[in-house]
Amino acid sequence: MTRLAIICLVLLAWLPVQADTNQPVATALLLNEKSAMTLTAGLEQYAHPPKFAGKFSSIGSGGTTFLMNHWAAEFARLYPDVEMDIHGGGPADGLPALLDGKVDLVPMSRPLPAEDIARFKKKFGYEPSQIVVAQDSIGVFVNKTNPLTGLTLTQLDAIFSSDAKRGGGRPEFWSDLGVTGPLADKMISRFCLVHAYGSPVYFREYVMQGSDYRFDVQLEPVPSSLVQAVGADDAGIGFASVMFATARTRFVPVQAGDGRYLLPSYENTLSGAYPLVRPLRIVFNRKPDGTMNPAAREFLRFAVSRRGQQLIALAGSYPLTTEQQQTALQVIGDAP
Amino acid sequence: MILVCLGCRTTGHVGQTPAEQRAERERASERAKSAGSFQASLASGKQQLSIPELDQLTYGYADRYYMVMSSAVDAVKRNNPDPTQRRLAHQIKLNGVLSMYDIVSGSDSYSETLDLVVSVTLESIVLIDENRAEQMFGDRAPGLIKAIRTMRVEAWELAAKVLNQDQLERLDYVILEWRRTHPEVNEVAFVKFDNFAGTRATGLLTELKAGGGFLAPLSEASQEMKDWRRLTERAFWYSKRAPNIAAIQAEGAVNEILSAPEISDMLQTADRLGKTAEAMPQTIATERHAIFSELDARQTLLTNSLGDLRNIMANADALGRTATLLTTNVQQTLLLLGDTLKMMDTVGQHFGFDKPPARPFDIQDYNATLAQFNLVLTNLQQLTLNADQVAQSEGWKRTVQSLTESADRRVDHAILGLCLVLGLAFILAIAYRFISLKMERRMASNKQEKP
Repeated sequence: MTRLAIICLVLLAWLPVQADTNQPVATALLLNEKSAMTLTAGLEQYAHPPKFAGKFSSIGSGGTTFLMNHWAAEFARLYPDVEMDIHGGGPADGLPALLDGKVDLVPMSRPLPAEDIARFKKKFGYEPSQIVVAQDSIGVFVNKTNPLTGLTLTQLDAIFSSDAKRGGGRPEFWSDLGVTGPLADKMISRFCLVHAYGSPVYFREYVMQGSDYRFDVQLEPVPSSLVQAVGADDAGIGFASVMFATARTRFVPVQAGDGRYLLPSYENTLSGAYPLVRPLRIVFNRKPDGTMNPAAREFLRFAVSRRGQQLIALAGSYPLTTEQQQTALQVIGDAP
Repeated sequence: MILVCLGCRTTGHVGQTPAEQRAERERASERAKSAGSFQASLASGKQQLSIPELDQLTYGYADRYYMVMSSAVDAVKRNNPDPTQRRLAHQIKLNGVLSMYDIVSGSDSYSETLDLVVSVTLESIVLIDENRAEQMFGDRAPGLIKAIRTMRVEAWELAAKVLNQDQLERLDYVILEWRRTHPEVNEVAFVKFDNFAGTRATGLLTELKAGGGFLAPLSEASQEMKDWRRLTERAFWYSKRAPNIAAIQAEGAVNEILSAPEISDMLQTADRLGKTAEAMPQTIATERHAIFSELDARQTLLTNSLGDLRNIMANADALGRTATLLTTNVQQTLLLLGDTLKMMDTVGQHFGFDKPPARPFDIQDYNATLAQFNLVLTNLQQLTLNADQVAQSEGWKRTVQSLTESADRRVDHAILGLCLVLGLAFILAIAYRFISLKMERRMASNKQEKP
């Protein structure tokens, strides 16, 4: 009887592992052209004035600036006389510049911290405005040959942080994460973006509870390089926005609060069920009477429009819902 | 010539007239000046790199690229039986090295750096991210993937010495965006930064020249003076590597010629002819051996058949003699019997037996009966032979086997049923024993409670 029970348990443990090794590559999770068009069909279209000139500048998070560049390319075709200075480099440069009045827009991949809001309010007498311009999730990437079936936040913390505050131990080999087969005895190669991007900052605050990264985490300058590093190294793991998915990587399902292991799909991102969801935002200075840089206002209106959302959906990001679009348009407001 | 031809394929701006390109460059230049000075004001105090230092870095990078990629490609080609894979691998090496030497021996260090990053990054995107290397080379791909990944990392490390973080991000964006809008281009090694004109990256080069990154800006006067010296250095550097390039090009040309359909057909025909000629002695020997074996086998068969025939004839002869003897004896017996009966008839008449006259004895009746008896025997013998043939046939054997298996199954079922019944009986017996024990204990305890 005991033997029979053991056999049944082994079979139950083996079956899901077998099923999950056939998971699709990461690019299969992104929206295709048809889905992108369908999901944005209900959004309000951008009604642009026939001729417009002006200038605005932007400095902020690399990931959101990546989307800004998509909008800017199209916006420049609509308004050749609008001058745009759009730079990444991280919100650490952008927020002081916004306070100094040197920039009009600060793209961010996390909400504006309370202390920054307080500093802004102290200087201008009103709070900064911020709108959500795209949905996004941080995907945990592994090589497409990696059979890992899922990770908890505790395991993710243990993989990347120096002191594993969540108590996940210190995994060094893939077998420490339950992986069997040829990969089991290989050391885990950890990849992380430089801190000019919002995702490592978000990950440190939310997953690692403020801990520092391990000293052997390899820093990559841009997200495409990080995801490629994982695709070229069968023992690699890293995290970045889902929009940088490639055919040599796949997403690892992450355990949500209800115990389910979820992928960073559009549905799981929209519902907030996936644990590493982070809406991408733009912070800007809009006076209480509605006054703001007109070129920046037009740019924001274009960004949240149907055309703007289609552009980023085709580039791999997740578009806004109609409710989110309306909320954003209300915050932007019309010219006084 | 190959260099020129390949270079022509990727130069020129998609969908823009020269006038539009000029206007775009001017606008971008204006934007870049303001952005460059703005970025410079934000840049940290990182040490700036001089142009000669950058030149040395790019020379070193090009030589490492040649070494790393050649090793990886040669590993793919070594002992590879697939000519297509060998040709594709060599093409990657040829394009990559030609492009790299072309870039590094250019006249503008600023452009060189960006071109170098663009070329290697696009190659890595195609071979790694789009999984082309694995699709082309299967199990031999990992070495090549590792090599191109190494070169991409080094290219971006080089770029990080020149560009600030924001510029790196913008460069990454324009490369990804170009690839997204040009997925059909496979030979990406010759794509240059100049191909991104009209995109938001245009200002990047101007920014660099204006000192927007980590490159030390040069005054026009010193630039003019140093350009001549650098040009000479580059010519010398390139000439030293020319033999390598020529060797790779020659091998590539040979591969190209060999992969042409006509040459391929001719080589296959020659190969088939050669193989046929090579196999001829062996084929003849085999055929000869087969013929003699066949003759031997037939001779044995013939001898056996003749022996059988001889035996059959001898047996038939003996049988004939026996039958003749038997017939003669029977006939004699019957004649004697006829004489005896005739004599008895005479005796009967003599003693006045008054019986109705019977048909006189006729020996022909018995002869006819004997002939019929012979026919029956012959038919019976034929029937036996037919039965033997039926018993030897495959269909009969299968039927018998099927019947046997069916019988086995029935027996198995019966045994299984018996086992189940026995098992059930055993379980019932245990249950009965268990229940009876329980009842005994309960009755015993009841008795103890009620003495």
